[in-house]
Amino acid sequence: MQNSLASRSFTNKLRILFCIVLFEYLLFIFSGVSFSFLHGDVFFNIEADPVFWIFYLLKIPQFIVWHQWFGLLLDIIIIILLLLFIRNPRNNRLGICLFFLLLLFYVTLMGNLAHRNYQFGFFMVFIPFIFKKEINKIYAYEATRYFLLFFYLSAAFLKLSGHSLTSEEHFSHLLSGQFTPYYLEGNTGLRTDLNLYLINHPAVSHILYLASFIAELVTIIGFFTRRFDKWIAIILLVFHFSNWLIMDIAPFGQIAFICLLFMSKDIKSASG
Amino acid sequence: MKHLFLYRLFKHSTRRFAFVVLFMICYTILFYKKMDMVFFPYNSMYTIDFTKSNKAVTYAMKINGNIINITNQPYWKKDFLETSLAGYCNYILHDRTVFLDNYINQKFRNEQARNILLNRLTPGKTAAINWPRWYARFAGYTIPENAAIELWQYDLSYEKGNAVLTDSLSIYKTSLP
Repeated sequence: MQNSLASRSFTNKLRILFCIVLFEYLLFIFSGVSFSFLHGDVFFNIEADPVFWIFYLLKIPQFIVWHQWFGLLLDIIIIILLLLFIRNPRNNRLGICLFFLLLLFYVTLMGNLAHRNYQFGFFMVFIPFIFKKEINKIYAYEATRYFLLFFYLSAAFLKLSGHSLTSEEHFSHLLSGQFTPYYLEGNTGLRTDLNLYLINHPAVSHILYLASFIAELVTIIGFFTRRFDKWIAIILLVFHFSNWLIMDIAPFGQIAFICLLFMSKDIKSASG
Repeated sequence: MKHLFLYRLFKHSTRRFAFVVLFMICYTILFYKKMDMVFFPYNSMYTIDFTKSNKAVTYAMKINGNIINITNQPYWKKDFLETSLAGYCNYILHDRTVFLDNYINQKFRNEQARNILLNRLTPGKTAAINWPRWYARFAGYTIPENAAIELWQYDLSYEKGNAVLTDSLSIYKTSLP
């Protein structure tokens, strides 16, 4: 039972998965929004979220933005730990450290962003790997997988219950607010042309909205079988990259989390 | 029944089963209290049409009358520059308060607890006064001496098949030494 998870091919798959996490964190650094770049940012706006409150009550994000050396140190530690974890993805202590450090980064970034982006998969992906025993890893993987599926399914459910699917102009209205800084600066091109087309053709944008609903809804299949997990992951990745093109919401931060679904077959054979 | 995840988890470890059930109960309570949680966010994913029209609002900062451009920045930085500025402008428009100021004042009656929460969970009225300077530098701009900094709100409409600026409002002016 435990042989499969200990196999070289599964270890290599895990290495690829955490290389994606490393790539996502490097994107934060090269974009200039990782810990060390937030130095001096005294404005933050958090929501009624107890997890955020714990960090801010302890003044951890505030301490980080006031001490650049500490932010820089955290960036370096995260990169080193990620490299070590790629080398040995079975080390659950590294998994625990990375989970908490990346959760802290998410909380700090979103607090200072003054807006909640749901690309939170870059720390959620560590949940199955914070456990030492293989059997616990398998159960934690299953729980995380259900969480991932429910996260997207809840979006489909809310679209259905909120009656947004019946309004043809709904998505066209939403698209009006997605590229406003580009118009203000006159920085237009292919994506703003597409944005204008979709705003002016609500019927076409409504079809895309229905397609996004279907992409979220297909995750319901995952509650009954794992056979199609690979296809669910591909559909979700296409959904996120389309969002980048159409709504200027990039998937960076969420890619590795979705890629967890590619591991289903290995986990299933390991759990018997 | 035997294939259900929770049933199998219960058979595997009652402690872990209890943890998962506790998590579900906590989340249900938070959801009922209209709170959010990072581990299980209320994922509406563009379900609500707030404007109900093809109109949009955006914000910009100006240094000596020139707009700070943000759209050529990499994705996360552009996102940061856009949303944090919108958040700061709303903070200015609401008399230097954020959402949690109202939330905490409404939900917590104990003055001592309220003060601690307000002190640590909100930026306060004075701490963020120099934030525009930080923002300009973060966007890669150098600020000349005695530069005039302005925050503007812009209204856009798409009624004529194009993005049209319909209105603008200066919401904050300051001079940085």
